[in-house]
Amino acid sequence: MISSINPTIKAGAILVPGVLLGLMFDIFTPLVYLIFIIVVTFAFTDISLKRWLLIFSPFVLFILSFSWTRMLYTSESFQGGSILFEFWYFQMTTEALMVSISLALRSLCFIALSLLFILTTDSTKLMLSLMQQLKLPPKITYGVLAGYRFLPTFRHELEILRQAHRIRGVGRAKGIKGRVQQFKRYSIPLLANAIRKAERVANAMESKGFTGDRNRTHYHEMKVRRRDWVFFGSMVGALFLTVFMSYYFGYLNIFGREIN
Amino acid sequence: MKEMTQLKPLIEVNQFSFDYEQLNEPLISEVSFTINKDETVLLMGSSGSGKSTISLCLNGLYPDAVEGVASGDIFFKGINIKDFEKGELNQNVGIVFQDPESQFCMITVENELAFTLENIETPREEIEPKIDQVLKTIGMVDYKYHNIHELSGGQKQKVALASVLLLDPELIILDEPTANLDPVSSIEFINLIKGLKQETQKSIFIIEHKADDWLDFTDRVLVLNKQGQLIANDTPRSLFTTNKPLVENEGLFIPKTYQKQTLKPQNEGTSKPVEANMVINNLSFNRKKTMILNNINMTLNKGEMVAIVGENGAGKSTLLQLMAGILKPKKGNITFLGEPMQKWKEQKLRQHMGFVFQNPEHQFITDTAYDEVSFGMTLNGYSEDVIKERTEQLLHNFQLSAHKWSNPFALSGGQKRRLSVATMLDETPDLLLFDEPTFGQDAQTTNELMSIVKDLQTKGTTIFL
Amino acid sequence: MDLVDLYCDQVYVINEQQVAYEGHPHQLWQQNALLERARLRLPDRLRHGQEVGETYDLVY
Repeated sequence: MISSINPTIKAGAILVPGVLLGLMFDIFTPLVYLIFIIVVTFAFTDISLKRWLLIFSPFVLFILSFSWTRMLYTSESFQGGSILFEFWYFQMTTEALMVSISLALRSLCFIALSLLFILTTDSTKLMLSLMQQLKLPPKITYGVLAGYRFLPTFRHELEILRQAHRIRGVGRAKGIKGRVQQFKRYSIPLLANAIRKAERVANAMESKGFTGDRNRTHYHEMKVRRRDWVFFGSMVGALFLTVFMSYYFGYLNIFGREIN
Repeated sequence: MKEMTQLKPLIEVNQFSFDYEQLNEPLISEVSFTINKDETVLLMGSSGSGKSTISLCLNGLYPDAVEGVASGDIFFKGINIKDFEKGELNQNVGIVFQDPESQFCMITVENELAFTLENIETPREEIEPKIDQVLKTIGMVDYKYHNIHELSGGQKQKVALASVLLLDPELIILDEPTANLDPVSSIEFINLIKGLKQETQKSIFIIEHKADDWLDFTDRVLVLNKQGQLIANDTPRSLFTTNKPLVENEGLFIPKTYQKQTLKPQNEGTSKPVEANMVINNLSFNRKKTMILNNINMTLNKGEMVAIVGENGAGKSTLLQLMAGILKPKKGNITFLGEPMQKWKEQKLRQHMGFVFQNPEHQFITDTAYDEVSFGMTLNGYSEDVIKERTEQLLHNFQLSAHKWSNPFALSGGQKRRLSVATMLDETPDLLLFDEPTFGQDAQTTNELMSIVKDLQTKGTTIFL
Repeated sequence: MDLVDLYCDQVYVINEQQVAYEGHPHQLWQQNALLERARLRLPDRLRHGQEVGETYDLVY
């Protein structure tokens, strides 16, 4: 299961193909890789299809609209190829179409990769791993963890604040000036409380003997095992295989240069 | 020789002063006291007297952490605490803080406890057995893998205590650990401490403004006054009998055990005319799939003081929000002054009903106390003269005249509380709702608040706690 | 709970999403089973009445 892969290595296994994909300007490579990611997502994790689609689909819409505009306004260098159709004063060329479809597919790959990481990674384990594998100072990692705990409380407090102000008879803000006023009214108590809480947590952490020193033992030892490297290898390897395939079939296009 | 070691105090505080800025009028002023081995000492003081600051000074966090100024010395086992390495003293002096929400940095109980052990460089093999052991001590073995934010307040405080126990300190400081807990959870927590005390003979330093529940195992009581001076250092018995006025003057609760005559209930035999202010019929409310309130029926009469009680999370706050019309019921209806709730216009409703939130700060919307009180009247469109007169009057009644132009956030806890009530009284409301108004308040504030409320009640306002 | 005991004319106990008791507070204090179920504590006035033997030794 991917959730048990060491988070730091997992991050690497997501980032490396992500960056390399950014260079592939053809359609074939990102398309095949996207299919590969989706297969991996459902074969090796327990993310439900419904949940995945729920997060993934808004991005699909966003990317579709984005690449549509991109298609109409492509830069000069991708304006070659025959003209597909003309609309008003826009010209649609085959090459522009290719480039934007590729762009859309690449973006979808990034999102699928990120989801694969986010949905299978526990924040605590990630921080522990960053501290143990990448030697990040404990001050930062535990700070982030402590902050992470605040998010739900923050939302809850904003909710109470809204109610309290409504009771006082402050209606919904109208106009820009009203909104600025409202923002000020909300932010002062929220900030005051956040600062107070942060200080308390800091005190509590120090009282428990936390000094920010790197010399500490680790209860959960985050080891890098063979299967972590296997995962890394297969994610990167799959990309190279795809690239090779598209080279073989003559689709490969790296950074705008067709290679064959 | 043996006597010598017995006499040597665990903690010796000598002429210690502290302030965040300068020592002209320090928060803590020339305090001297000792805590001996195996002793339980209780520190009392009204809110804002700097009690909590003392605890942070005792474990060496202050003054460094806040760049405060201090003079005088604190000795731990005869060694000045300034001579300890960073983090070293923390292992000998453990603190359980007041707020259960903000003393953890990890998500699960297991990881939080491991965090403490990692800090003191416990070898990995020993960590798990120690966690299991301490969970047994606090009676929470089943909660090892639970998320901390899903625990009740009482359970959170127990986890905080467990972290402290893992440090195996010689002195445990409890900084109002039960202030945010419901009554039964607090007594459970106190009994846990009592049991520990009998088993481990650790020294315990308790900071509390209500001494009652701790008394039967307290050896000595210290009293800090509002100027940060130590005015009493005595056994509970002598303090609460011979020196009783001293404690009362500071606005502190005298333990009920030492009150000659108990307070007489003032609510016997009501023969007020019964006239319903609010009627609740078959009210139900659920959040997603969890039922929070199911088929509630209530009648609130004019001039009555009504309370709802129940353990934390029983749905008290939800019910209040429904009554105030900030939440819409899923089923059933609420009638207020003969009109169904949904027919009330927002502005009219707010004139007839007040709601005082648990945290007064949430209700402040302006920059001065004066504006805070006059805000509602301006909204109601009163003339300038009326507003000025009524505002001055209210500020006077609530003893806030001197702070008229202060920022609400800069007021003391009790003042904030009074101001938050005053803002609801632009007109005498027919119904005043309170969400746990006396939470964590000292005796003086509580009494003041209750007399204000009593007064409103005689004017015909229904009070709902 | 002390405030309820001293001042209130009427008290509602909410337990398991429903009203488990309504009426004058003084009758509530006699319903031990209910108090325990709803995790409520007797007011100080009555609690000390029950522990007379122990506490009075301390005072006098």
